[in-house]
Amino acid sequence: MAVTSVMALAPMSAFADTTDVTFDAPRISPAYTITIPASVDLNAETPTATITAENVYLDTTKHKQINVTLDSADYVNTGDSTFIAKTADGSSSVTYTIGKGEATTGVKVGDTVAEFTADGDQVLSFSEPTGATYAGIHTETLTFGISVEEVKVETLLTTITATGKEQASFSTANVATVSFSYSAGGSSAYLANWGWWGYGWTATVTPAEGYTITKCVFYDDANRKATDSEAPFVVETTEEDKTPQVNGNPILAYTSKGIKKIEVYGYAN
Amino acid sequence: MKHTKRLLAAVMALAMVSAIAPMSAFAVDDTVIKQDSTKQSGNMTATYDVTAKYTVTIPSGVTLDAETEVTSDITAENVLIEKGKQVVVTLTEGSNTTTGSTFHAKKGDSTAEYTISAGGSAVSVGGTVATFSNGTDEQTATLTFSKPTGWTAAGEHTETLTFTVATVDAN
Repeated sequence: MAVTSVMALAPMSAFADTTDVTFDAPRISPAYTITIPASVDLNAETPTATITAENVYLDTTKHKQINVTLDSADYVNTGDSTFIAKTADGSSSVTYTIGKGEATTGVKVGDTVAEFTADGDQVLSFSEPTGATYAGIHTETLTFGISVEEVKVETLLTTITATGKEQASFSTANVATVSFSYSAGGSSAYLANWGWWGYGWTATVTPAEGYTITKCVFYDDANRKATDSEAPFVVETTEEDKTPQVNGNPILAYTSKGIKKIEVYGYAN
Repeated sequence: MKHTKRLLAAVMALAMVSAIAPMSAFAVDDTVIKQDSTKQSGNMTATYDVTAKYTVTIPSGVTLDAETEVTSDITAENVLIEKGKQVVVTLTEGSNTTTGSTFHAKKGDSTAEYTISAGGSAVSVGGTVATFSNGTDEQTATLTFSKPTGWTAAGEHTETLTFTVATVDAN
C-alpha cells in the first residue's frame, strides 16, 4: 500500500487515491464432489450403479486419495458379501451380491468400493436376486462413506535401547515391541558396552496395533548402523558368528559385537 | 346295448399367468457429497420387484359318463404371489349355460344336463372352483361332473366351459 503524505499550504484540493489488493489464493485441498446414486434397480438386465467423482483436487503432499466405502447394509453385517433385500413386512427376502466393475461378486460390507485421485467413476455391478418367498418389492439400503486418506509421514516412532538380556527401554511406549527367539543351540546375553550379543539369537521388531513400521535402523556397539526397510524387521546372529546381521549382511563383519539400540520409523494408521 | 353316450364338456386353457406390477417411481435424489459436506455418507436403495407368477393348468376336456360321475383336476404349481393373496379360478361361463348350477351339453336340439361340484359344493356359473396359495409344490383342485341326464338324441353333446384365473386378496 502506498503511503501518501500531503502538506497543506493552501486550501486542500480534493484528493483521491486507490489501493489494489490482490490475493493469489491457493487451491483448497481436498476438494471433491462425490455422487452416490440414490437407487439401483435390480430388475434391470445388468443392474449397475455408478459412483462418480468430480472437481477432485488433492495436494499430494497431504492427501493420498478419496475412499468410498460400503459402510453398512440393512440386513447384513460387516464382512458379509451376500446382501439381502426384503419386503416391507419382512416376510420375503431375496439375496444378491455386488462387485466392482463388471464383476457381480467380491464386495463385502466394510470394503472400499472406489478410490479416487482425480475425476472419474466406479461402476458397481449387482447380481440378479434370488430366493423370494413372496412376490412384491424387496429393498435394502446401502450406506456408503466418503473419506480422504492422508499421506502417511514417516516419523521416528520410538528408539529401543538394550538394557539387559531380552530387556529394553522405549523412548515412546506402546508403539512397537521387540521379541527374541533362538536357534537350537542359540543364546543371548547383555553387556553394557556391547548391548545384546550372543550366538544364534534373533530379535524381531513388530508394530503395536494401530501403527505401521516402515523401517528399522539397528545400531551396533560402536554406533555403526544397518537399515531394514521391509518387514519382518529382524536382526540376528548365527551359532558360529556373533556379528549382528540385517537381511543376511553383518553390520561390520567380524567387528560388530552386539546391538545397543534400534530406531523404529513409521506412522500411526 | 349299453346306453352310454359320450358327452364332451370342454374348455381348454393352459394358463401361465404373469402379473407384472408397475415399479414405483423413485423420488429420492442422488447423494452429492463435497469436501465441506456435513455428512460424509450417502445412501443407495437397492430395489427388486419380484413379479407374481404361477402356472395353472386347466384340462382341455372332460368326457362325461352316463353311468357314473367323472372327475377332472385343475392344477397349479410354482405359485409365487404377494403375501395375503391367493390364486382363484372361476368358472366364468358355459357356452350353453349363462346362470345357475345346471349345465347343458348339446347336440342339435338334444340337451344333456349335468352339474359340477368342487370341494363337495355345487358350482354355479360365476362361482369359484379352485383356490391356490403361495408355494412351489403342485396343488390340485378336483372338479366332479355328475352323470348327464335328459338327452333326446344319441351322439356327442358338448359345452365349452370358460375359466378365468386371477390373484385376489385372501380372506
